[in-house]
Amino acid sequence: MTTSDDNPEFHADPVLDACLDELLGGISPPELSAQILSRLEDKNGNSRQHPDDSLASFSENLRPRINTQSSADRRTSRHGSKSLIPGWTVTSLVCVVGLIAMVAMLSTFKPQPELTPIVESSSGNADTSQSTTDNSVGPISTPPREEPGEPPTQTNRPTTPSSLDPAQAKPSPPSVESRLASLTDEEMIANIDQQLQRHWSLAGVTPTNAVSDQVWCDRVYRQLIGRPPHSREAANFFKNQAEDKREQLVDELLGPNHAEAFADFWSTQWSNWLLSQPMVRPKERRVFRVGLAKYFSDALMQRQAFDETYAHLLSATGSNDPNRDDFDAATNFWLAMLDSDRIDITAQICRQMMGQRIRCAQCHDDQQNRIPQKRFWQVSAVFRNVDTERFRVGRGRVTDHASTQKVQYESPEGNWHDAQPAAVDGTRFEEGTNTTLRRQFADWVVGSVAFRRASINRVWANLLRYGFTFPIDDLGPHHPVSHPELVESLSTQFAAANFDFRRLVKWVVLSKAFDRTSVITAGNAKDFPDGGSVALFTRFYERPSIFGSAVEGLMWLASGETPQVTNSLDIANQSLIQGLRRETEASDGASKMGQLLPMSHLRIASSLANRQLPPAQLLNHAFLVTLDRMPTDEERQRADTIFRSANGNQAVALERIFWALLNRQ
Amino acid sequence: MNKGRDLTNCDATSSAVDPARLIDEYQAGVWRYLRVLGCDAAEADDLTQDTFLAVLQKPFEVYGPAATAAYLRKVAFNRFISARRRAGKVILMEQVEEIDQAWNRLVSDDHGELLLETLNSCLDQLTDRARASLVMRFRDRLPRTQIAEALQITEHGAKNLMQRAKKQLRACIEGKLS
Repeated sequence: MTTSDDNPEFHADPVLDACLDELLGGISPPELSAQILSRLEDKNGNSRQHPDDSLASFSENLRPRINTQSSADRRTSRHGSKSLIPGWTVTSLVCVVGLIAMVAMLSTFKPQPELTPIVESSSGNADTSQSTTDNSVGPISTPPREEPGEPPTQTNRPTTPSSLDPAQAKPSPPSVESRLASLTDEEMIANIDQQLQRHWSLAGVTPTNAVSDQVWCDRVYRQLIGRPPHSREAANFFKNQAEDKREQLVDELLGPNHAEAFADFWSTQWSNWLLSQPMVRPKERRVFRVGLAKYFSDALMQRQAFDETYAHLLSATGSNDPNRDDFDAATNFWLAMLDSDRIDITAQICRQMMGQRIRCAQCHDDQQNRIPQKRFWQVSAVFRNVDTERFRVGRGRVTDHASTQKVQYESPEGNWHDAQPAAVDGTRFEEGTNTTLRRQFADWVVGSVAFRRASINRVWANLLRYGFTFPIDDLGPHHPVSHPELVESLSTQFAAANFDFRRLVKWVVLSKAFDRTSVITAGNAKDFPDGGSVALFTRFYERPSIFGSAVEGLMWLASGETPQVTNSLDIANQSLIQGLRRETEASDGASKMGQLLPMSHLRIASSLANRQLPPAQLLNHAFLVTLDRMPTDEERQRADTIFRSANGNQAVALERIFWALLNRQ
Repeated sequence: MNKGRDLTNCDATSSAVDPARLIDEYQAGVWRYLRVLGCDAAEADDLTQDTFLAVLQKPFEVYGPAATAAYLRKVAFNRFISARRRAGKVILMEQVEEIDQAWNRLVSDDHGELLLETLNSCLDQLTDRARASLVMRFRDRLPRTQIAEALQITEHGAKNLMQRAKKQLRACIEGKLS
């Protein structure tokens, strides 16, 4: 149980504690059938070899790779000594039996097309048994990349992940892509509303009413360009009597007039997503974050497709110094994230861009996500040839070099294996071709279904606070997906729309999920994602407002406190912790976003500070930019204290004031 | 994992149990039972495997879902006791048997699914603060001091709040399942 000895109250009711652990903590019964059956066969003297090496096992029952050790054995083998002699004996036997089985199978067995991704197993044999697992996992499947709008075929149709398809064993329905190819914006919005409505009916909940134009206008400005509407902008919206005035406003905010503000706001979000756990010193973090935001900002300004932006990011080479000829702002990602042993970068890329948490597979087969240990090291091998060179603090260069260096890893049994570069589903990448390993990997990532799903889930969560899974960067088979059909249709249409980020945003903000009020009623009380359940979007989950008013925030800063990044717990209990800030580490990038100062405001703060204006004028600017009004006398008094406590560093004082103003109700 | 399925092979003349179906059917119930007895997740994994291995290596006849579940629980119970003794831990038999009885009273042969569903609905009846305290404890794994800090109460207050919440949950479950 998770309870500790220092909490005797949790031992009082073991039945209830275990149930709460499962219900709230997610510690649920694992699937042990394969392990038990395998151990049973071993005990019964069956000479079947290790499934990972066994082609015979593939022809027998296509069972995925399993580890037959108990957890106690696994712990011993990781940390204790172990004789190598039995291991060699077993390996020899396995090789002989495997060879015989391979010959037998090749002469009799013809693999089905769905099971073709064949990669080498740890002993060098074809890892065909794993292909079954890969197909069942789904998000790591690799359909050939279709052209935008191209009608999907049977061969390029993505597989549905088990978590998204409860009826996996049933005959597959018509392809989602064939049913939803190339919908218009109106059709797609109607589709979202329809799916939401269906889930509301199924869950027996009633959505709240739609918000007024005033609230909606304020909300859409904040969510799309990171600031409330100016009084003139709001007045124009209210005066508009057209039926589709909301769509007009969204088009306006996504259009050229607000392109810079939109790019600023979203580039900050994107860079925050990716650099939530940088591997570098705090001193350099901000340099890389700003540099990466610039890359995304340029991409958004140029209306570059989302997949192209990420493909370039993943394969970027050159320097992040704008004064050098080989400048490429995308390299900031690699300079910030690349770790010496390529473990963190592997885990981060899979998590952030594909919703796949594969770090467990670093040490052992990940039974929960059905990812073999070998796969982690194969993905990691893609990044072995990447090198970074540092010029000075915050500046450096990323290069790919030719290398024949092998990646080796130690299995839980204590054996060492080679890993060849491959994708998460086992698709092999070849060295020595015209393109680098990273480029091959990048093309694979952005062409995968997992990338689309992870992307739309993140954008949805950014606009509506909760995604379709919790946490949003884990779309593994063990995680419930709140709206599987909606995930499918959004990700499919996102690809069909040529990964047009603005269209995706438009679909979400014009859907019913976005225009609900935030009240909790008797009809939607079940919709309580803060309590650990999936979000039903019957109401709008307001972003955390730390302070009741601007003056409250300024008072808090004036008392000597400084802003800290919050975590999801703070957000869940915002009403209880007003004024209380704790130095806690955020669980993921998404929960940080609400509390980070948007890049646009950072720039404004820096720009204003450089103009050497008196504090009073700086404060006026801050209020006008953020709240579209001048500060009151009381607010001025508090702000004076903040400026004085900053010891002349006006930029820092302004940033804090911006932060307080943005985090008020 | 539907309850009450026929676990024997399709061949009507055969009375041998199908191991795969037996495991598939009952593993969740055994695992939950072991967790309730006090195993952590890894230990429950191991003992669940050991339980089925012990059962399936001997002749096994199916008398019905309830009897099968009870038999598996008994084997799991013995495995649990043995494991604890091997580890040199003191076992308070009365306490363990009490837990065993409580589980048997609340869970029939549905592997604990109904109990979890009931608990889920009972959670909705708690106050926001009480629910938040349990969420912080069981989902976020926070120590009592941090829970108290978040709720702006004393550590003792947090303890009382959680105790009351769990008492309320227990009463709710007993009421619904009785």
